[in-house]
Amino acid sequence: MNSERRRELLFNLLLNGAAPLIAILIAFAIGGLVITFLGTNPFAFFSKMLDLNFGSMRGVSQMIYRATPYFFTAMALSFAFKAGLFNIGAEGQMFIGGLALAWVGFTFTWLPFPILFVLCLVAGFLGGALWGAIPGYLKVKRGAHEVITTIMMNFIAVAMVQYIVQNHFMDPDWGIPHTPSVAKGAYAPSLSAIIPWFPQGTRANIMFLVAIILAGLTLVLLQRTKLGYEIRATGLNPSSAEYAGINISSRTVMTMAISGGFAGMATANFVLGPGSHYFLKSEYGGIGFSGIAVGLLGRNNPLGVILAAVLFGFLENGALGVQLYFPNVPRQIVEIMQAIILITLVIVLELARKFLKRLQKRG
Amino acid sequence: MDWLTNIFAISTLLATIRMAVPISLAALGGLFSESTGVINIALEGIILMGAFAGTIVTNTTGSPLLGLIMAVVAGIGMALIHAIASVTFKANHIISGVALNLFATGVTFFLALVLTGGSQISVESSLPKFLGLSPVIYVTVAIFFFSGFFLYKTKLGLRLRATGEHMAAVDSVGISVTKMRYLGVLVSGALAGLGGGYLAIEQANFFTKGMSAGRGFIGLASMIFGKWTPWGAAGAASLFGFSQALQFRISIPFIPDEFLQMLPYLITIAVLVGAVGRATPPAEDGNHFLKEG
Repeated sequence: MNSERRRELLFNLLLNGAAPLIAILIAFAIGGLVITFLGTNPFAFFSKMLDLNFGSMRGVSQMIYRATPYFFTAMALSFAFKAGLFNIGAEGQMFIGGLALAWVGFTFTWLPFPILFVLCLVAGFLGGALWGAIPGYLKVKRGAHEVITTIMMNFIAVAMVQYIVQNHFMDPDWGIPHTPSVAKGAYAPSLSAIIPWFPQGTRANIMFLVAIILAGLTLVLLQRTKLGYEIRATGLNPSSAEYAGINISSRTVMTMAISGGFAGMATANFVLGPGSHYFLKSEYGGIGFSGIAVGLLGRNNPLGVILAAVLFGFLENGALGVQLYFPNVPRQIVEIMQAIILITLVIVLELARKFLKRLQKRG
Repeated sequence: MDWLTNIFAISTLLATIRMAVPISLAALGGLFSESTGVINIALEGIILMGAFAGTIVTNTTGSPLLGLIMAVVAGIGMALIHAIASVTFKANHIISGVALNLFATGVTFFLALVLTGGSQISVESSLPKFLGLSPVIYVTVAIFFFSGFFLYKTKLGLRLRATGEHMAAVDSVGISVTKMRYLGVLVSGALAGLGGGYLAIEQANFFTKGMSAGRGFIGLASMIFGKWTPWGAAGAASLFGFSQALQFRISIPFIPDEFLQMLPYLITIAVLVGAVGRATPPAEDGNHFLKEG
């Protein structure tokens, strides 16, 4: 019993702790090499990044602001993963949900604060859920693989949102197409309004707390409810789940809907949070795709996903700021590092699994 | 009614052929990889990488031929990473593919900025046209003829396909499953890389970030619609080529351009919804080879 507990702990530590850490270190090493190659001292580069993020509460606050949307798109991947589904469509679900939540925000302008804000989130969730449920339905009914359909839905969402914003909701005073601003009742309060010691005037907002609450709720849903059990059973072994009387089809569609719903709320951080208060499509591209890396790095565990999202927020916020100091290193260096984290992670994880298996055989 | 005559114009047919080349090469690449049971959604990133490498090499050497060769080499390089991750280390094929796609998007954009300061690079020369079409188009047709023969009539081709159907059987007669899978994946990289090189050097005459625009995935859908056969894939890819050709050549009254842009993607979904159930993928698709003992 005791040795079994210890082995389980070792398993968790290696797979969920050490493996992601090694992948992150390798990504920093390769990123550092590239930076050296461009004639910049990587230690100066990364320590400036560290300083920009952790040097002040302001930096921390900006980092949280950048991290928040990644949590939502990553949860889209991770939640679907629990049922054995690959939702690569967070990008499109994010756009549809984002447009939906902005629309509610600038249409029902007479509603007071918490009501309109919550309604916006619900609209974002529903928009993303609809966009996620369609591939789920097509998989269940027609066997169309969700990897390809969700990716196709991304392209369709981009074109559709572009069309709707440009032709129906465009603010005519602006060159870049974006929607009208949402009403005051939809504003997401900044963190400084809730937490007294948080610095004023940064964009970190309540959506970060919403993310943490949702992470907790998701854990409860997955671990403590019948629906969560059925979703996990579908992921672990669909045929025995079906034998046990679980309606796999309905669980698949529902999982894809909830998964898409997460992604649908991703842009609330930008649209409702302090700042512009309108939906600007060109600002959000790529957050859905990066969410895939964030979710896998977080080992598909809601709490792990929060940590991984903060790391990506760290990289993005650092990259945006560090440009001023090292202009010869394009900030897209972090995109490469994010991809390297993911590639090395899949390899390191398999190595760790192999190592653990050997250990198990021996002991 | 101009748009109606435009649909059936000879120029639309030629555009269809041009548009179909990268998609059909990706489809054939997917076919080679899945023949051995390895799912390769990295095709999208491989096309992008091939387009970028082809552009840079064409501009630095002045030879579009060298550019195309480097596009193939870059494609093989990307495929090698996919093979190492998904065959040797037995990582999930789809995750490895997603990672490589993200990698290609980041690396090409980054290098374009470092090398030229912008995200779009124009290609300075392309191959001389033969009968009004790029020579790569004829090469592609030849590759399809060869693949049809190779996969069904040669020993190696049959072994490749057997690996995708029953790995243990292949292993039991002394053929290395790993070698077969590496071969399938690397060939898929070479083909999609060529498709990317063609896209930038011969078709668009420029590289721009994210220019693959789903062609790798559309290629996979073509492969599925074509029931995992070379000629089926080519036919399906032509359908997609046609839908892409339409979006550039016509403007139908009352239908916004954005909806024409969606067309290839909508057709992809429609094709998947209609095709599956009647087509069977290789039995070992996505499986890992775990040898006992």
